[in-house]
Amino acid sequence: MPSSTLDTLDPAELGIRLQRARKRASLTQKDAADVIGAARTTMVAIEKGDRSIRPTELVALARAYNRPVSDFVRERPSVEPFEVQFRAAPGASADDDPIRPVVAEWEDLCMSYLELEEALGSPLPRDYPPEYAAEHLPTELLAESIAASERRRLGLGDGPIPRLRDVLEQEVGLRVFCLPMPTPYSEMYAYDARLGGCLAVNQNHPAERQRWSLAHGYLHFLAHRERPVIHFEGQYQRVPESERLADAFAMHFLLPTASVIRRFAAYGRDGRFTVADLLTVADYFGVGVQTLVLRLEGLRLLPSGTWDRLKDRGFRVRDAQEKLSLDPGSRERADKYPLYYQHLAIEALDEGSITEGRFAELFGIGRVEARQLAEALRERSSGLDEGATTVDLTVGSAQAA
Amino acid sequence: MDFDRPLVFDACALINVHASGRLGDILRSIPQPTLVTETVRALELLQTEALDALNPEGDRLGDLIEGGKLVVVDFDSDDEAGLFLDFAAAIGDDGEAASLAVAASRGFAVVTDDKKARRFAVGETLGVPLVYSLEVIEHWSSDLEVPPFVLQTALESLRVNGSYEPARSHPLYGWWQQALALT
Repeated sequence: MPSSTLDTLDPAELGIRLQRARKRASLTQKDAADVIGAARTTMVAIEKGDRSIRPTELVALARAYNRPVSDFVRERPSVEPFEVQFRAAPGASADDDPIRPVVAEWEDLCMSYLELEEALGSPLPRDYPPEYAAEHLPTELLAESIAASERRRLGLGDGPIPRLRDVLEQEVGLRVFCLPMPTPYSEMYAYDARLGGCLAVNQNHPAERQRWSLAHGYLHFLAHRERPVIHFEGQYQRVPESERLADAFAMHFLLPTASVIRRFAAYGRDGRFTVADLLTVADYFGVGVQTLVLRLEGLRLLPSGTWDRLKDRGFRVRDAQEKLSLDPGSRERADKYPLYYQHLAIEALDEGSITEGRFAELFGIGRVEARQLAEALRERSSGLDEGATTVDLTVGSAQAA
Repeated sequence: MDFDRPLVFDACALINVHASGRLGDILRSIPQPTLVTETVRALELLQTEALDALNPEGDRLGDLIEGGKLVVVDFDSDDEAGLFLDFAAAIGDDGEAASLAVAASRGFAVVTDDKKARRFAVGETLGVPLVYSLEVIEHWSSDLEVPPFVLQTALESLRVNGSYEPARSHPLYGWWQQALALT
């Protein structure tokens, strides 16, 4: 037999991988059958795992699907595909839905992340709270209660959270990617027992909106853990309870009542709370101006309808922020990949667990660019000369030295 | 170094030699056929086009392929493709796996600088001779008695355009340092 790998692979599992790759490439079974010079029924049998595939056929199909052969034959963690999870979720149900390629990329990234962890024996540290029970209390109170509990649990006090993404990645252990999505989409959330909580926010949105999406998605992890979500504007005619809870949580998590009141009081000492004050406080909390106005309206610190009146007077947030040199949310890390993912990738490359080609693939870039990135990551992680990065800095080793 | 069999260039090595700006000269200095797999050619096409652009005076990869100096090879049997699948499953990289599979099947050598691919080839005792890209460049410079400043320019180009520097443990690290230091 020409390939021991094909002998050991489960034909049904391989068939599923092939079918998913074919669909991603928007090819029919007839198209795929033509690639290997077979009848459509043969392709059906291959995808069902009923007919074994020859090595040259697998190579030809991988090329036609524009996927590396190693995607099909290397051992990969077994997780429930996101597209299957999202099948029933509004937002990615149709084959031509513009979010589908983003879901596929996000899933690949989460899988690659897990593969890196397993290759290096360094799982992403998790500190998951038990799922909050979303019952009994009115939405607003429940949201405030969860937000307060999480702030306490994570040691965040009641001030601004300048680096929310880092908190979710490093303190909680979520996989957070920042991916370009079509404009109406803001966030995606999925959960799998092996992957844990996975979040993606729209890289094309302003930083403060991304922060809102992070907080919003975090609630889904906290309260609706196993329910995948794709969130986009104009999604609901009647907003479901779970979404209202997520909105309210984001508001309370990013803008805790006591802290907001303190800032409002500090800025409004002379009895006036100006537009400049509004912009400064929004910047302080790293939220959008509209979000802050709505929060202040909710707390009855500003009269209801303030935001509408500002808009009617032609108030332009970006212009005003530029005049004051403010950039809310700019302290948030905006790169596509989680820090730990980057750390694992460079470690895996340097110790020879992955090839340079795979390293480039992990970041979706070419080889030369990958070399430049590798250099930058090494410098960032150490700032030291070659060899110094492996020095053991633990107490025991220092004593031994 | 004596090259006693055809050389299959892996992607990282091909990029390194190309980044030197002397790809054509270097390939022509090798007394054996020089090859690249279809897998590597397809994967790295865009990258090498970018390198072509960086060296407008130098040889273009496409021209060298068309002229037959760099021969594109593909799997010619299920056995060879099967070997490729086995290696791809173990290495997790199609380019490296394809180069090693063709070389192992046909008794060729592989030019590669990749740590994982080299470790795999040695660990699995594939019997495939492994060559570093710097060995190929060093062969060109010594065999053709290339003037030191020409070599220095080539290595500088590799360092800058290819973002490549050998590790201190590389067998030709001293040679690299010395050749680059000439002014």
